[in-house]
Amino acid sequence: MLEDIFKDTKYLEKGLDASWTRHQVILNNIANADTPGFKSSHVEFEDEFKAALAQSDFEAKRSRPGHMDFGTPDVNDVPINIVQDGDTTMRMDGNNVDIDHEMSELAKNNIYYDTLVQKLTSEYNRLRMAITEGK
Amino acid sequence: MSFMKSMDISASALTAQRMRMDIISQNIANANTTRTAAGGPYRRRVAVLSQTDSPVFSQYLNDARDAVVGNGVKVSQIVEDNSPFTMDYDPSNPDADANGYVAMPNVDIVTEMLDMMSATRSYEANVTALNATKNMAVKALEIGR
Repeated sequence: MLEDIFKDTKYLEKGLDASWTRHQVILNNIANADTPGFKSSHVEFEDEFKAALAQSDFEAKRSRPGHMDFGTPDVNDVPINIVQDGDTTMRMDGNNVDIDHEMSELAKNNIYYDTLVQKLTSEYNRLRMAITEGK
Repeated sequence: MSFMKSMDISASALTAQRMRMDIISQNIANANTTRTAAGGPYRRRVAVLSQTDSPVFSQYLNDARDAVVGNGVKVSQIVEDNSPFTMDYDPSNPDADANGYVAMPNVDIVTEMLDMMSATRSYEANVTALNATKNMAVKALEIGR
């Protein structure tokens, strides 16, 4: 039972991983806002994550580790996809970075990251309160 | 995925924009230079920006996700602008040719000013991004506190 204590926090941790990857991709887009021929990228994660969470009801029982696992996808397997926007062009030199969009994505992602950190901290505090019996 | 690498991406952009500013300042300073060491008037220089690749082989062995994120920007070369010189009629100038025309540098002050504004705004955007990275890293240290 002890290994299930942190079962719920791994979803939050996965969100933190995705948020950090998104931050790095946005940084690269902003850094290359003047580079000719550069195509901006973005991170796709939420849809796969939602689909993975929606499948959580069905679980296969395995009596031996060698049995094939099917049913619940492990939250660690949800891919964090980096997709390049190769089709659009904003300027004559082939660069398609929209600096306003990138700056607003940066701010949004920052708030999302802070929210997840606060939620994670409150989860750990809850566990700590249960362990120390509220003292 | 380390946050040190995130700061390297923004730092590379700050360096590249600063070098671009240096080249623009040189162009503006030499906008009237009719005599250079190589002979002839000053020719405008342009910085070419390109995305930094991962040159080290060990980076290919790293997490594939990191290799796709990108490594920032760098000034790959500084080329000379091959547009023609403007000819000014000034027979009293010691550099005038037989017809009294002086070849002036192909630097257009308005273009240089616009490039300077663009470089400044890019620099500011990257400083904001660097501050955001720092805030996220500091916030991560507060998990569980």
